[in-house]
Amino acid sequence: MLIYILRRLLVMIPVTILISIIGFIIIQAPPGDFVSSYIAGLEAQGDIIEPELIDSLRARYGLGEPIYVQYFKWVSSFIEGDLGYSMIYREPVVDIIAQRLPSSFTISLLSLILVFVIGIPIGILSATKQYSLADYSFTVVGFLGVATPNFLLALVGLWLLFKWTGTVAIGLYSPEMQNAPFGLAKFLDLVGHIWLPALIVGTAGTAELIRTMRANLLDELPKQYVTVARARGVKPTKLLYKYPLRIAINPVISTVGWLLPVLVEGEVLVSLVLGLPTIAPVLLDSLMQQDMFLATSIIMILGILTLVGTLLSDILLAIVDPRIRGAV
Amino acid sequence: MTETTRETDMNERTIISVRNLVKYFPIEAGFLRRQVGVVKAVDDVNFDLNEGETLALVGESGCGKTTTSHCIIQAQRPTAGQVLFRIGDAEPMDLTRMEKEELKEARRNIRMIYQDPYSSLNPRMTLLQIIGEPLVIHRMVENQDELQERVAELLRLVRLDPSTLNRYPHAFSGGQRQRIAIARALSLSPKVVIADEAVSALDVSVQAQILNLMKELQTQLGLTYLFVAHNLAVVKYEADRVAVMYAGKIVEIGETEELYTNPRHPYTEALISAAPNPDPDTKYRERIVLAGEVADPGNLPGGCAFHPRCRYAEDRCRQETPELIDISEKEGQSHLAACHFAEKLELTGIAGSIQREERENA
Amino acid sequence: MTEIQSGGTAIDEMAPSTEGMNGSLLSVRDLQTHFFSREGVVKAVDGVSFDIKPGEILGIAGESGCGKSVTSQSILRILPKNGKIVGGEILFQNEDRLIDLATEDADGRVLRDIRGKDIAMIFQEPMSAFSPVHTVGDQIIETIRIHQEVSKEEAHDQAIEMLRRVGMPNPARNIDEYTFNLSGGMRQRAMVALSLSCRPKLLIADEPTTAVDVTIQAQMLELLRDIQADLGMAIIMITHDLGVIAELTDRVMIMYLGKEVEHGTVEDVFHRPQHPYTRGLLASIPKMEPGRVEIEPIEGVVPNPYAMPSGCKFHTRCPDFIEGVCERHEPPLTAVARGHEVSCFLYGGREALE
Repeated sequence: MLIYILRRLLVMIPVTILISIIGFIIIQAPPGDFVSSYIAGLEAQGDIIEPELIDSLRARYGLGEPIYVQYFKWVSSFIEGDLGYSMIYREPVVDIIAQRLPSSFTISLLSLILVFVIGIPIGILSATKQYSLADYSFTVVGFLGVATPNFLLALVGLWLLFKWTGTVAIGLYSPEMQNAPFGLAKFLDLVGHIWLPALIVGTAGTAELIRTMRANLLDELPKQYVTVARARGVKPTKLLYKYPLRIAINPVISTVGWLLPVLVEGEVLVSLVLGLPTIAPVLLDSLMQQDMFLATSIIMILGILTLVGTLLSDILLAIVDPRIRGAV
Repeated sequence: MTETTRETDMNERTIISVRNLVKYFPIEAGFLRRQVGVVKAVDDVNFDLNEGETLALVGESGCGKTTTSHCIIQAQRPTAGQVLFRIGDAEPMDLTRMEKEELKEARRNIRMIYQDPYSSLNPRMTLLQIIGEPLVIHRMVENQDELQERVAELLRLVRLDPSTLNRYPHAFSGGQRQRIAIARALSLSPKVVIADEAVSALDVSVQAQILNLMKELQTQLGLTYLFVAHNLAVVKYEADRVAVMYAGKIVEIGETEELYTNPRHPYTEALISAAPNPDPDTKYRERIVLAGEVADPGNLPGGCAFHPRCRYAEDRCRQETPELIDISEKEGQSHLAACHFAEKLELTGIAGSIQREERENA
Repeated sequence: MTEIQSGGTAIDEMAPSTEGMNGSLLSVRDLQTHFFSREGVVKAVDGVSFDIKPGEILGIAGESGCGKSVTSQSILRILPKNGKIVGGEILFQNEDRLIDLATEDADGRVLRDIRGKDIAMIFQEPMSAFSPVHTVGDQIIETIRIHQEVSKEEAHDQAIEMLRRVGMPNPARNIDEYTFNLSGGMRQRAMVALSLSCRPKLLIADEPTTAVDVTIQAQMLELLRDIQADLGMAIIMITHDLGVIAELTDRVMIMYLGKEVEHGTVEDVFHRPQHPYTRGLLASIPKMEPGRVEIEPIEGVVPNPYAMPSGCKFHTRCPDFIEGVCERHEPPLTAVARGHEVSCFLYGGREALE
């Protein structure tokens, strides 16, 4: 097991390097660099830029040098924790990410929990009562969930909430709480706001999980060990959760890892619509304005998150499934 | 088996000669996936398949019988050894040294039938497509009419209604599907058919139909069969000669009747004794129940691989691997066994396990 | 078996009487189990009756689709969702209570108490009989603790004892192993231990030796014989292999398309087979006997279960088909000797038609 984890960690190193190269190249691909777009932006506003500043910026990040030199300069400062400077926000990238990542993370985590809490029981119900009215209804709702774009859901959610309660569910805090120190009151305010984005971001995932859970369980239910357990006198409820469910849920565990970045992705439009201070809109901005350091850093972080998530779910899977434990 | 002067010399009756055939699979383990051992799936197997005969390869799962058959048609490439194949009076060719293109001709003449008639036939193809496919691939027919005619003829050959050629396999029962598989195998008029557990999945009444059909086709078309099976009673009915395999090696080979009534290897004796017989009179016979399980070909015991389960084993068996040697007493027959004590042991064959005479006398 | 007429005696559903049980442990009377699907109804078991006494070994034999496995699933009420018992009785003598298993709630208390404790089952595939993510011991101990009020430690000891009893090489270690770590033969033994963990009165073995090699099959048959002699339970052996039937059982019932065609002692049925199907079946098995023994297959194919033949189900393949009779009427069970009954018009039943 230890050897397995070690091997997986070793494999992660080349993959991380690969992600960084690909990310770097893609962002470098469009013509021009951020300094020129930065200057263009400033000049458009009538500002005058001193040539010295331009030169020092270019030298600092090796712009104008061959791309591999730029890459190595960027990587070495990345490893030291210097993620560079954001041209749009005029702040160090580290600070922007530090401000935004926690709320992103909270929403993602909450969505993930909602996905599981809603998806798994419905999946089980659909499988055990296959072809019942409930099964058909959830199938329809599920397909709608997958098919409806998140931003539309967000708009509909906003409108409904406003219509019923009169509140405008924009942002993560009420305006009066925005600058208050973090305490119980602020926390409660957060709870009051965060559920809507979490729910919306999780819709597609939930719908998908219902289908997966249903299919997995339907695969397991007719298997012989279930019949054997029944023939041994095991109670129906225990029979369900101890045997087929336990096995049907394993593939679900293995998807947790790559669900996280998918959720972050899903946040982009929802965050824009609901005005949430998450990392997703920043990524969008940075990509559109060629804010190289910001964009590459965020992509790197998402990439590393995916790798770590996958590793975690594989380890988790090995823990719950002795067959995999035996093979690793 | 036969003394060879030249590498490619073959007995004139022989159509396929398997010589020193070896197939090893590496076992990898550990951090860097280093090779830590080998599975000796087939380990120095020698036999001749004579024209027009049925030779059976019998043994339990993992004994290497299926791997051997795959190595013959080069579906799996052997690690070492030769598979000599001769068509008519032509020079024998060594299939193990041939490239894919060159193998085409040989593969046209050596066809396989598999165990599961449900998964070996593509459910989205009609009988015409299934049976006609090899004909089209090997360009054996000129046009659609000729193809239809050939397929209809093949269906008649396996006693299926030729008017069914536009139907799909799901419309047929297990036995009928096996007939379809046979028709497909015969479409290129092969010389040799390898039947890998071809009747194992069938019900007995249907199994009997297929066994008889295969015999009839053999006489009619002059086919040679390599019959891979685990059921000893079926093998006794179908085969002229039998090779018993254990842990990748042939432990005994001889003519069927001789081998069943006068087994010379303790493993053959045990297999014969273990086969259940549909005769309640044999209920209280003395059975040889082997302890333990088939040797693991990835971790074979030293000496004779069978020694841990053998009730006659002595020290010599733990140290020396026995050679497959001719121990036949009768002139003109060959009966080989790989046991140090093949000539000394008094082993019991089928005659001894049946007490029918006693009942009839009583 | 002779005491009970085909069709069964009318017995009050609510309070089955012990009349006619004659010391039988289990009495199946005119059992009908049908499967319902979009394509139609399959009468998998269509009026089957048999008795089994304590300690007796009964064989049920027939080819695929004959209903032998469905019969066993009906007894334990572990049928697939679309399978229903539509008629008949399954009377089980449990201590001094007579229970009709056919009318009890399939997952109710009464059946759950019987399953695994009084009636246990061995299945064909030992690999899939155990949950792959639980240890062998976990499942054996679970069974013991469902049916007996014992501590975990006590159940653990009992489980080890049972594993030893079935010949596991190292019970104390094997108990914590998963099935994928066990060899084929060991899995088979573990499965026997699982089913015997509460020392049942009746063991149903459904094709337990079909998927294994012949030397392992021999070990398995020896184990069953041994354990039966030791624990004295009754066994219903369900198999398509008439060799296994001859090796192990006292009496045998031959089935074809959901119907019983012949039953009697193994000696009667194998040495003096009467029904054309039984004769055909025996003639189509290659024999392990010296010399050339020809085999004769039964002609034709097993009919489509959705389009069953009228009258005698075997008439479409029967060499002794009597026109105007066999395709019109169902043959009744007729005794040809004491304890040997056949359902075929060759042996009677035609008088009643006229």
